[in-house]
Formats: sequence, C-alpha cells, structure tokens
Amino acid sequence: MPVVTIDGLPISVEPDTLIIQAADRAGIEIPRFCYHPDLRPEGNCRMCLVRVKGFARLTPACTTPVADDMVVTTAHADDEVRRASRGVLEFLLINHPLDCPICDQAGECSLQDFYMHPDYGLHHSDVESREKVRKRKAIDLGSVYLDSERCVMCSRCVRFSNEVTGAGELQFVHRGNHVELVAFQDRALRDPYAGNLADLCPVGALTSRDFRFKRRVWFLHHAPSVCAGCSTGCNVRIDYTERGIERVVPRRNPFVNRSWMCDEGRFSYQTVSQLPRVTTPLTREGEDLHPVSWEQALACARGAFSLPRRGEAAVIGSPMATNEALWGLQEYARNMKDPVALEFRSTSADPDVEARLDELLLHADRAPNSRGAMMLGMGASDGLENIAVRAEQGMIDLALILHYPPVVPAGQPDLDRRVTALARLVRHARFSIVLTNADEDWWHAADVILPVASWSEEEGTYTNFNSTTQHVACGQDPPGEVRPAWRALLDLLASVPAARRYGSAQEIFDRGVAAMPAFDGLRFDTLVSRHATVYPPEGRTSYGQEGFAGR
Amino acid sequence: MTKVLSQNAEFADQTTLAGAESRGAYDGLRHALEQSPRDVIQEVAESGLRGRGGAGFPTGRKWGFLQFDPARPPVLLCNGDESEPGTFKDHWLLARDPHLVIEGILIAAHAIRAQDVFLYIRGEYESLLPLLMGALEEARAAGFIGPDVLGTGRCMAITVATGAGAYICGEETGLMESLEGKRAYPRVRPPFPAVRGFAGRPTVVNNVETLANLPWIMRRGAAAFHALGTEDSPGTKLVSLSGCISRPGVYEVPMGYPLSALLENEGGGPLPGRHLKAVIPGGTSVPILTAEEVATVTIDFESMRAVGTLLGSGGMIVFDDTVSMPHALRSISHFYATESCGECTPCREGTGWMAAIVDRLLDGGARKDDLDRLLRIGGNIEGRTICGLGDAAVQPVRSFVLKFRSEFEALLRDTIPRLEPDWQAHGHGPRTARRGAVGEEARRSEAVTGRPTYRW
Amino acid sequence: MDRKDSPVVDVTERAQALGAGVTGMAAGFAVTLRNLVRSLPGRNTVTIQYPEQRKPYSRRFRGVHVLTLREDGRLKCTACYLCATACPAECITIEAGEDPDSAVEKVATQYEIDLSRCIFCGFCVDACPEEAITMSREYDLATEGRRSRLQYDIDALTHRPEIVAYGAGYRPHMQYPLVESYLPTEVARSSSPDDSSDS
Repeated sequence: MPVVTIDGLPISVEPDTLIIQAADRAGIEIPRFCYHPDLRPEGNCRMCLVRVKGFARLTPACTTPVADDMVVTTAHADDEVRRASRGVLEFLLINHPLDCPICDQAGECSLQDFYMHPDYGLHHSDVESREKVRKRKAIDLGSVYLDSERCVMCSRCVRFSNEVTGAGELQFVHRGNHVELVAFQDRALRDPYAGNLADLCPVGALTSRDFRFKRRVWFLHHAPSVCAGCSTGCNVRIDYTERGIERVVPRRNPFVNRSWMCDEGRFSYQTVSQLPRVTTPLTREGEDLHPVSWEQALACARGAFSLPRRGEAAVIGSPMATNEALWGLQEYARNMKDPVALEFRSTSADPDVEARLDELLLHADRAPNSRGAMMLGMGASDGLENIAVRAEQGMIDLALILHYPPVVPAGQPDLDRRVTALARLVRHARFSIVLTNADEDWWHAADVILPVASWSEEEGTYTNFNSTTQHVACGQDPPGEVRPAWRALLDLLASVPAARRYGSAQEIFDRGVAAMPAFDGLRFDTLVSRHATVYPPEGRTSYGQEGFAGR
Repeated sequence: MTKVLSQNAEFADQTTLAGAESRGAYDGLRHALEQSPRDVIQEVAESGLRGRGGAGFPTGRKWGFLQFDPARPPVLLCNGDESEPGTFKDHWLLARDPHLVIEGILIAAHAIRAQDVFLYIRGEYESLLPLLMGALEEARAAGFIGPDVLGTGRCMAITVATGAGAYICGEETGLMESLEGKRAYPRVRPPFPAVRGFAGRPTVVNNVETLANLPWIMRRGAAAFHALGTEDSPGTKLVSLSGCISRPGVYEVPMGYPLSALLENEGGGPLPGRHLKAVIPGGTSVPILTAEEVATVTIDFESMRAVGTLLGSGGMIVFDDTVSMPHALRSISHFYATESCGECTPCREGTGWMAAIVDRLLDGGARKDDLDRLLRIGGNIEGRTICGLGDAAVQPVRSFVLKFRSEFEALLRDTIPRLEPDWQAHGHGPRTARRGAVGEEARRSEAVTGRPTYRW
Repeated sequence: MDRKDSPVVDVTERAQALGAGVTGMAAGFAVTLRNLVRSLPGRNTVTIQYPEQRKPYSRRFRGVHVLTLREDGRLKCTACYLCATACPAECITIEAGEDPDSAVEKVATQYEIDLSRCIFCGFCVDACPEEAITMSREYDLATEGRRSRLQYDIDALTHRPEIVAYGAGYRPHMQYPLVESYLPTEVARSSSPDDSSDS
C-alpha cells in the first residue's frame, strides 16, 4: 500500500485514494467545498489546494490520487498553501451576500466555519456591499429553496442531480462572476431525492423548504437513527428540540445509503408527529374502554395470561417494531401454554424485502424490520388473515397484538387487509391485548390497550433488507404515559423470573436477540459504535463484520 | 525569406483544389502515407516543430505520449477556436489556404492513427464555413478524405464543428467538453487528454497553424525545417500585427526575427507623428513589452521568455504614445472577466474583481491602495486555477501596472474622490459598517446614484 | 478551620495609628449629622416621593426592551435568534416566518420576552446585528401576580408609548444615532388600533 506523508505524518492508504481522503482518514483537516465523498470529484472550488513535493503548482487534494512516497503539506504547515486557501475563501466571500441572520444554513455552513478558522479566514472584507454582484434570491424549487447569491458554484448539486439520481434538473448558466445555478424555468424539482440537495449544499444556496425558518441549527439536539420508511434502513440523524422533531437528515453510511435518503423517508417524521396518539393505558369496562394506570392495565392483562384456555393464543408482531419488541413478543409466547400462533405477516407468504422501487434506495417493503422479524422467526404461523378466520370460528382465546401504522402512508396495498384482519381478530378473540402507538378504530373492541412508543421515541435495532442490523437511538421523549414496546412487554411478563433480568434495549439485544441463531454473537455496543453490522442470514459458516466508523 | 505557410496564400485560386494542387498541395500527405505513423512522428519530432497555439510544446513529443489502444481509438482535434484577442492568423490561413490545413490535419491523423478528426472553429468564424466545407468536399471527392485515403486503406473523417463563441472553448479540455455538447468547463488534469480526452478516448489537440506546417515538413524533410528559425524554435511564425501600426496584417517571419524589424519593415512603423510605446507580443494573455524591451527581443520562444513574456499565439498588438494604458487594461480585463467560464473560484471571482477595480480607477471611486490590491488579487489567481485562463487574465494586469505604474498612479491622484462608505457619512463605527450586506441597502444606493452596483 | 489554627492578627497598633477612638467616632458621626441636616425636608432631599416623583436614569439604563421598526412601521427583527442564543436566562422565544416583502425574506412572527426571567443584562441588545432590539429606561414592572403581563410579545415590545416618558435606554454604539431603525414612537403605526388606550 502506498505511504503518503501529509504534514509530516506518514499514512498508509490503498492505491487510488485521493489525498483529501487520506487526510480525512488521518484526521488532518483540509478545507473543501466541492469535494463530497459520494460524488465524482471535480476540483473546482480550489479550497483544498495542497503542496505536493515535486509538483510545480499547488494541486487540489480532491482530484490528486496518492502515490507512494508522496510528500504533501497542507495549509496547517505551509505558508503558500495557507495564502492560497485564504485567497480562495476571500474570493468566495467577495460576492457573498453575508445574510447569515436570515440564512438557514448558518451554524452548519462551510463558509462560516472556514472563515472562523485562523488559517483560512478572519480577514477584513475588501469590498463594500454595493460593489457585490447581485443575483436572484429565495427561488422556490419545491422541496428546496434556491438562493443564487449564496452559491459558491461547487456543483455538488449539479453532480448529484446528474450522477446520483439522473434527474439532471440543475445547471449553471452565464459566465464569470455572473454564473448562476438554475432549474429550468424555476420549475419545482420533481426528483424524489431532491431533499438531499439541501444537505449537500455546503452553503445556504439550497435550503430545505420543510426546515425553512424553523429553528437555528445550533438549538437542535441530535440522535442517530434509522429511517422506518422502507426496508432499506437509511441511516438518519434526527434533529429535535423540545418542540419535537424538527427535521431528519441522512447520515453517511457507505454500505447502506451512502449520503442520501429519499424525500418520503425524510418527511415521514411528519406522519409520526401528526399521528393521533393513545397516551394512557385503557381497559374495558362493559362497553367502553376507560383510561387506567399502567399497574391496573398490566394486572388486567396478566390475568388473561394465566387464563385457562381451550383454544389457541395468537401473538401478532409488526414489521415496524424493533427487534427488541419482537423478541419480547416471542418471550411472551414462549412462556405461554401451547398452542400459540406467532405471526407478523398478513398472509402465509414472507414479505419480499429485497424488491426495489428504484435503482437508488427505495424498497417496496415499507417496513424497516421485516427481515429482522423473519430472522427472529416471527412468521411461525400461517398468516394473520388465517388467524383472523380461526378467531371468527371461536378458536382464538387470547390475542396479543403489537401494531404500528406505517410512517409512509403511500404505497401500502397491504395495510387495509392487515387492519381488517386485526379488527376481526380483536372482535372475535375472547380476550385481546393491543400494544399500539396510534388511536385507531380497529382496536376499539379490544380488552386492554397499552400505549407504546412510536419511531424515534425508543431505542432499539432494525435489520434491513440485506440483513444489516442497525442501531436506533431515542430521539425524543414519548408523550404521556407511553412506554417503549419492549418495556411494556417485559412489564407484562413481570411474573416470569427470566424476564426481570432485562432493564434496557441493550440487555434484551445482548442476552435475548443475540442468542437467536440468526443474530448469533452480535453485540449492541458494536452496533452503536459501528454504524452498520452486516450478517449473512443463512448458509454461512463464518460471519464477517463490516462497519463504518466515519462521520 | 523562406515561407512555410504563406507561400501560396496570395494566389486567388489557392482555395480551390485544382489551384492548390498545381502548387504542390497534398504532396506532403502522399509522402506521409508512404511512411509508417511511427516514422512520421519521428520526422516531426526531428523537425523540432513546436505548437503554435501559445504554449509552444514540441508537437512530436505531444504525439509520442499517445498510447494506441484499439478499444479506444485516438482522436485528433484541430483547434481553430482562435479567440485570443489580437490573433487572427488561423482565420487568415483557413480563408486563404484551406487545403494546406486539411493536408496538415490528414498528416497528423495518419501519424497518430486517428480515424476521427474534428476541426473546431470559432463560432464567430461562421463565414468561413462555406469555403471550408467546399474545400473538404473537394478533398473528399479527390479521395484525400474518406474510408480509403488514396488507396492506402486508411480511413479518415473530418468533422467541422463550431463553438458558440466562448474564449474558454480554445482551452483544449474546454474544447472537448464543448465538442461533447456540454458547457465548456475545462477538465482537471490528470488525466491528460493524451490518456483520456474527447469522449474518454486518447486525444491530441493541435493548433491550425501547427498542423499547417506539416505538409512542408513532409515535402522538404525535417532537416530543412530545422534549418529555419532558431535552434530551439525552428520554422517560421505567422504573426498577427494589429493596433497602432501603419500596415497591420498577418506576416510570416522566420523564428528569431527581431521584433523591431517586424514593426519597421513589415508593419511600416508607427503611424505618422507617433511613437512606439509598447507591444503585446502574443495575444493579450502575455505580459506587455515596453518600447525599450521591444528593441532587444526577437520573435521566438526563448527570447520572449528571456524578457519575461511569451510568444503565445503571435498576436502582436502595438500601442503608441496616444494610448492610455489604463483604458487599454480596462478593455483587456473586462474581456477576461466576461470570458471566465466560472468553473473554478479564483478566476470566476478574481477576474471580475480586477475588472471592477480597473473600472473604478477610471470612473472614480478608486481607493489609494487599489494598485497593490490588483497585484494581490492577481497573486491569488495565478497558478491556482484549473486552466490557464486565470494566469492569462493576471499577466496583462500585472505587467501593465508594474511597467506603466506612473500612468495608473496619476489616475489615482486625479480621480474623482471615492464615495465615502455609508457608515462614515452617518458617523458610525465599523461594526455597523459591515451590516449592510443584505440586498436592500445596495439596491437603495443603486436607486440613489442611478448607477448599477456593478458595471461591465 | 479550627479556631486555634487561624492566625491571630493584632490590629490595636494599626487602629491607634489611624486615630480610631473617640475622635474618630466623632468625625464619623459628624458626617451623619451633616447629611441629616442637609436632607431635612425642603433641602436637598435624597429620598424621593415615588411614584409621584421619579428619578431620572442614565441613557445607558437597561430597562424593558423595545423592538425597533423599519421606516414603514414593520418589524425590524428578522428572527436571526442571536438574542435568544446570547440570552443567559433563556427568556426570549422567537418564531420565524416568511416576510411578505421578498427583499426581507424572514421576519419574526412571534417574539416574546419573559420579563419575569429576564436579568436585564443587555446581551440581547449587544448581540443584535441590526439594532432591532434596544432597551428603554422603563423600570417599574411590578404586577399583581407572577403570571400577569410579564410575558411581553411583539405588540407589547413595539407598542410602547412609555418610551416617551422614560426615554430610550441602553444599546451598543450609543454615540451614533440609529441607522434605518426607528423606535416605535418615531413611526406612525397604522396597524395598532389601541394606540391611544394605554397612554
């Protein structure tokens, strides 16, 4: 492997690594605007110029591959490189409107960050505002707003549009310092991935319409999570405040979603936050459901657990649930007298988690954890609809149902059938316990309702279409008396001594889920520290771990 | 004096194939086709021919870089996007002796084994198209171009493409992008065109004048060519003489010819009653020469380099004592500001900024440190851009300011005093001075002064 | 610390050197007496009869905040949140919205200062890049209940006839006049129907 020396630090990297990537790996900061790890490098911003020993001119670190024994100096160690970086930053700022007070990018803007760095910025402006080149501002392009004045022409957006999604909706026009980014006739972008443009833009030229003027970014708290919109499992970061989720942005994971996510997933948090919630446990008193305390509700539900049974018990999971919650359901089923129907599917066919909707990210299976449910062996019966039929025949004594409405309502042909089957099951089972996060009609015939946390409100793990198990952090507190589903299930099992060992999602995963053959040996810590852990689901003799510990 | 390029240009029927052939056209091609491509490259390398587009890179060496890969056949691009201000030799050549250029192109295509050849001519040279297409048609009918050139089995096709009128299309990678139908943004090198150029194929880009030398070299041999001119710059050079001179025009002179002799003999000296002040020797992209420097310099790559300038494209612009250098610089720096493609930062922002400063030197509103500012901005552009346009824009600014500083300083003294910034008029501290970045203030000042905030 | 550990300092000599004693005490009481006589009613009384009488405060006094306006009476604030960021008491709540004027783009649709939490440090005024918030010399904020009227919203912060009486207070760069910012009293606001009711 070539060894390149950057600022005196020898770094061993694979051939064809770019200097900027080698520096990133070694933790040496090289300022950049146009370079993006998931786009073809273009070398147009000239901010990343470095000196390579033997080269006549300074060379952009983002387009120059390393060679063995290459000696590179950056702005931290070389006066001329520093002058070059300062010069480029000054050029970028001479026609910048400096309207940071009204710019949503402020706080996460590369121009601001580099300006505040003593090596590149902190110079006094040499131009007056009236000398600046004026361009168009606040152009509504659908999911993003375009502000040409703030643009640094790094072409990340153009390259994303051309190379990643192929939409090709953005282009530069004019020449010299009148160059402007445009969408044809200012038409709204039709790219279903256009939301990424706002994340991609290093400055405030493209900002999110959804997040526009909502909050200054320095007030946001962050939680690493995974999108629940489909079986892709795009890594996301939930940005929330005390008001709730303010936005969801993709986290880079080269093995799953690179740096992107689809707009449906991006805005699925709105579905979650607008969901009509059930926030207190309810129990049946005659015809009506009445709010009660958790203790009362659990006591009522536990009574059913030891009820003498003639027929079957149905334990119904959801592919929207975390592995931990599903494991809790299994634990419940394991501690119950046979026969038990353990199921999460609508029919007896396994969901096709690998069917794609497009070539980039989207999968047809609109649940984040179908693969996890399959790996946990949740589909052990003959499908929810058949169970519902048996319930109508009076063969189901007890139904324990965990159900979440999908976070992406569109494209769910299965949903109505599923809810109908659940309604039939609840109506005809002798006793039914429903764990859900939403106030919906179908469960009004149930006997006990336990309110559980929605996506983003509980910690856990999801396993995506290619058996990558990923950690989801808790992004906000659940409302009211809502508990995480795994916690509610363990509370139900309080009489079972084994269940008392588990106090957190981590303990359930390490001692419970990881004990399942398909997850054998996975550690929760590993999932948290490495952003993804891939396991071949079956037919493996040994397993490897692939992780990504980058930013 | 031996003429390599312009020997037949004065004949009216030279544009027809019959006329050209009567004076030996395509003999060089026949010569070349008898040799193997490798030998042609060797011959051209021995002749010492250097590129006439501006950089002066040895043509034989350039062709030698090419690795022949049948999966990605090489492409020859003939660069006729003559956009350098003060340069009009390629137009002259194409208009008077198109068969010479076509023959040169075919020799080069044979040498690098290229089947696809593109002749890229400047958008503004549209009027040349009928003539050029007629000449190509004649050459095709005579079997010089086509699937089987002169019965040798070699296939060569020449496509004529026109630019839409951008200076940057003359930059070799910008030209490729333009040919591919994209915006002419120069490409970052490496990969160099010889490895990955037009449409991902190995590509050679040669200037029209460079290729027009080839028939002569093929006919007379490398040694004869090498005997012309100087040791390091063999051959002759087409010079486009313009500006304040009695007989402007295109002249062919041997390399090493004194510049002062060119101005006096061919150019006929300055206009009556005027005196030579300065000469830009190679298009506006190269540093200007003062009258004293002109007296010492000869027309070849080394001599020009010795006085700190470049022969460039040979577009010589003559200034006499009636010319105001700041006004001349205004026109030049505006050219580069409008022609900067806008791809990379230093050139995009820097050229416009320099033009704006030259503007305010002339229009009033200059600051007393503006000359130093111009030099500082130039230093921040030079050597930090993707292509040579940034450097090209800096050279005239720097050389004008350094060599004619007194004229600029006089301007600074006589200039209309600078409008005080708003905050001083209001008696405000610097903190509030920086407030006004938001559009409205600028728009308001525009409304008050009746001037756009930025002018070309 | 234990008492016997602490060093004992004998100050007797120093007290004698300073003239402490009966003479010193008498000199001290002379000051008291002099001021007693001076502040007898009708002379230069230090005590004032608040609220009938009010003390004039410095131009730099940090009293209740004022949101300044543009020339046409619209709010100057563009909701950049710098004041809320600087506020150590976290008493400023802002919501931003789209301004109908596209040249302005952003405007505060809600701006509330919880004066019951405010410590009147003036950091918000220092932080403002556009002098959209300044302070007045208004200081008497007493109310009858903890929750009543101490949460000042945009209307309360811009509609301030009291400024005339109290005067404008602290803002940075006080030596210069306001630029393109106008105190609410300087701008005729057509949009405030209850302009006269409070004054």
